[in-house]
Amino acid sequence: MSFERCVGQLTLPEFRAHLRQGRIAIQTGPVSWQLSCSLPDVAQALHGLYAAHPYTLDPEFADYHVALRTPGNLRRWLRPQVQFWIDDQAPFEPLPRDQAPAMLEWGLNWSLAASAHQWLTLHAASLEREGHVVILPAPPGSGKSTLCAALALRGWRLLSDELTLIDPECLQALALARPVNLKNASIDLIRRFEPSARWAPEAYDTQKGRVTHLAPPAEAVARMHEPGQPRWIVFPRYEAGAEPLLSPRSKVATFTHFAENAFNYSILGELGFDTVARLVDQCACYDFRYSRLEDALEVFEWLLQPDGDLGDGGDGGDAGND
Amino acid sequence: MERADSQRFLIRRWPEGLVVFDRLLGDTHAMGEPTASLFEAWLQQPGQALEALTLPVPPGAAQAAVAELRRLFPRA
Repeated sequence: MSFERCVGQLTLPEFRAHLRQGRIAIQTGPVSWQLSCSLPDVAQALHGLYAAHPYTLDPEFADYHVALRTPGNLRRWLRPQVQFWIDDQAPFEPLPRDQAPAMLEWGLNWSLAASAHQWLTLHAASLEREGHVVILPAPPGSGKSTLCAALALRGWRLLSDELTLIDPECLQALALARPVNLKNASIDLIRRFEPSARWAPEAYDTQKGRVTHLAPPAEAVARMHEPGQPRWIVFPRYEAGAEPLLSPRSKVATFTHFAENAFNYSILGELGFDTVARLVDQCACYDFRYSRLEDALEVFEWLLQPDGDLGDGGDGGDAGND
Repeated sequence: MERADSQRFLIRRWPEGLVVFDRLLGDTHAMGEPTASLFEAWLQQPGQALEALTLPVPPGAAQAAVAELRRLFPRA
């Protein structure tokens, strides 16, 4: 199949019709999604967020077949809802109708996390610069997506905001180039940080509060078939008023985090252990505390310098007893 | 403790400790020092009781390492 046209080359009415008929498949890195939805606000959000992504109509094959539908029950008259479907299964409870665009993005994340076991799937953002990839794991409230958005808007190539896919064989991080999920004050912060950025409409009163998605930069999409080699693993932590502080992090602790938080570590078994161990081994691992995005950008620029690492980089560990 | 089978454990060592995948049970464990060194000593001398393995650490730390290994490998 060939992807010669981008979603943005379709008019919104054309895109809406293809989406309603379930004919369109959008490519995000190594994954294709055949989508079906008749909701106009979802069409509008997708048309903006995925404007730079290639698409095909009536593909012979797509990795995932997903749909958003409004349940046909009485609630549709009182409190309308929307439901996510994949392969004609509905894995979640319905959500309020006005959360439909966000639900679709969350559903796509879930679909990958639940089934893409040819890769190690980390709950982490990842970005590339000059051939080197930084992985930003995501403890709750860390400010991971905020930092990811800022870096993506200032010269770092966005690979992924939510799911980092690692090829177990070569340890390269694959690019998905999908939208960045932001919530609450982070939305306003990034809006001020880059007024020209493109966004989906905001959804209110979700389980995460006020949420929306930032469109990936066009260059990230244009290069979404280029993987990158991880060099740094940085655990960000937003702390109001804090001076920036980058400090080396234990590799054992870094490994443990991934063993506990990678979506499919247990499913991959020994391959999961080996992949995480080699990944941690080849990367310099840090904790990073910050409060101002400008400071964070400076620190990440410094990482790129030839002598930027604080030591404890990819020095390798012992391979073990076999 | 179970007999230390050289094929049973997949280990990655770093200066501050190690992580180990137990092929027999499918478990992953992380160990800091001195537990990591005690574990390695046990792999070298699998017939020895854990308490008989010597570590260059104070007795209290060695006892804690033994207890930690027994927690990780309850059949010890």
